[in-house]
Amino acid sequence: MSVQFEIRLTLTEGALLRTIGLIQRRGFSVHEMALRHEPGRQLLSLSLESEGRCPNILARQINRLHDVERVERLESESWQTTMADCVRALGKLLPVQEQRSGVAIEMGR
Amino acid sequence: MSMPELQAQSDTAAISGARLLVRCLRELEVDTIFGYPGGAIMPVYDALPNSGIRHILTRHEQGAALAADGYARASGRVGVCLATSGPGATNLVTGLANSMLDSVPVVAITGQVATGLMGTDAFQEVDVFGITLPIVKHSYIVRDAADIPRVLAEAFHLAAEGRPGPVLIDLPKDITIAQVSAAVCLPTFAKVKPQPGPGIELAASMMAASRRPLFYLGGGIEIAFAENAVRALVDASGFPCAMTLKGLGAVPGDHPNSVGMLGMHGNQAANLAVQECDLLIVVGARLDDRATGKLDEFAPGARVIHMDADAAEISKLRHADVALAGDLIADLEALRKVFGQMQPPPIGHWRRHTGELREKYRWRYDAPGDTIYAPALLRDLADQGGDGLLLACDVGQHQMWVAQHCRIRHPRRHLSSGGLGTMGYGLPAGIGAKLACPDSTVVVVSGDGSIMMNIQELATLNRYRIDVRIVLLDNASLGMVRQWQELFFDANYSETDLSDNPDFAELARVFGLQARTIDRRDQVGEALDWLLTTPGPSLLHVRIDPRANVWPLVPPGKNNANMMTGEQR
Repeated sequence: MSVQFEIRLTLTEGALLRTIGLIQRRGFSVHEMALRHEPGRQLLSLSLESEGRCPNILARQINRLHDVERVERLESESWQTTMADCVRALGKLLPVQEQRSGVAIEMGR
Repeated sequence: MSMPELQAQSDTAAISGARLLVRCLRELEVDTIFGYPGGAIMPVYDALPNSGIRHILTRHEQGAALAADGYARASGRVGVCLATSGPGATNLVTGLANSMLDSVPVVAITGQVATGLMGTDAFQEVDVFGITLPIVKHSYIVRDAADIPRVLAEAFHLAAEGRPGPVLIDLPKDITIAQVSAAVCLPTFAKVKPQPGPGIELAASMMAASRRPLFYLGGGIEIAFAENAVRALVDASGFPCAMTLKGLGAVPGDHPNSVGMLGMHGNQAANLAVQECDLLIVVGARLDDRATGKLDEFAPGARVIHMDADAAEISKLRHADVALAGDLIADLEALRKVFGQMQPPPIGHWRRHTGELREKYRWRYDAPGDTIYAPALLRDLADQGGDGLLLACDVGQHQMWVAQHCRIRHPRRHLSSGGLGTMGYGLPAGIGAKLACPDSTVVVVSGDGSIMMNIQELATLNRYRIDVRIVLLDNASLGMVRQWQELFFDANYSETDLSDNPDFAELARVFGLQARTIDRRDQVGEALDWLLTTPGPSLLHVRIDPRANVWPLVPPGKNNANMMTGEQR
């Protein structure tokens, strides 16, 4: 699974290291990376690869970092659609007979 | 206490960064710091006397970090620890990881070499900011003394808000001696009134449609002080509930709806109920592998409602049909209100079934012989200690026996290293808890392996005459590892024999504690009475059968219905 993120970071010490470290610890490898400075912030563009990990969960994990102002997935899918990624990733963890289709999923606030 | 020196200073005077730091800590209502001095942090130590802040000198920085953790868990306030650069800072690491894994609000302040020396391999220089990046919620290097008030205010706010965690502040020595304005202007953070999440209606509908519902209560409840809200929902719904290790006390262990603790060493009633339920309402829990067993066979027939302060935990390991990420109290209260307007589900049969499971698998205390049966001793300890008892555990077999048999009735009264499993946690955590809750009877339950990990903190108990009582269960081995070697490694007992332990009662006396040793069952009642009624720090050394195992046990890689049981010793 290949995913692309754009992450807006504050201009604070350790913001980049903290974010990249989290991404790698959570089972994603960084294939491409670009960092661009803007007034008061940095924009980090990433291309990531992972087997069996949910990019939506990763986005939430990145988003809870204090250094992160915003996380955006660059694919054309909407956030709601990309929940399907999670279901696919979790599919490896759930028994086949328990996988349900069409289940309403409420996103957190 | 005399008028704090720092408060008496003019706000317009210039003071050192260290004095400004201490002044800010006072403003943040810090009353206790656990720490250990050294070169780079000396200016802060110079500012501490007469500041109005109580400093507890532990005998190892890990003890300071874990004591701050215990203080925070018992009180719900931010715990603070202090160490110098280099080894002082690295010795905090295990404690910070412990707080991170269990979501405990701690602020750690470390000395650092002067900014001009950073990056030059200076004496006692280590990049603790980099080392701790994965195990803190956030961290700072202070580069300007004028930033100290902002950094401290942010650190305390971040440590406690949402899902709590440890925050590290690295403080170079030149920053602590730089002169800055004494004016403290701490930023404040607006409190947003929590609102219930958008999935409440759907969650209530699922509850009303269920036939075999079960609450799965985790440590997030005590962190959020949400016990009253969850108890009200449990009572209103009548649904049975199971608790994780960290969730014990969310509802009283003897509550009629409780089926007990689930997981690897949970009771059979809880584990079977989870496997049979058709709706699992997860509250403040992250579905840790020690609780779920084999994940793809966990609660196989259940839909899931997941409520947690941390949105990143929802659907991380198990798909949530309804996600309620946010304030637990707001969501629980809203759910109770909406569910209360619905037709309650017919769950009489399920309630009877879970009640029968609870009766069928009730703990037994009729182990044969006259050696001391640790589960019975711990049950008696909880009974005799009553509601004033606050337990701090170490890690291993005794930790599981405490969780199983002490029938924890209240949140924040059972401190246990759940996520990291830190041997050596119990004694310093008990110290922190006693200082946070001086009216509680704090009992540390430890093992002969764990106690030696932070044995030096007996000196801290004695130095301040902190009234912590210790029950040391001594099976002359690293019991949990020995048990696994017996069961899963063909009884190849590799490096788990501790039969050369010191005489623990004598050792405790050397440190200035009162101490006794018992090894027969008929001594237990009188010994517990002595422990609980004799003022001052003390240690009860309890010799138990080295072959004793913790039952039941879900073997690794198995689902929670596959529980092994064995002989009680």
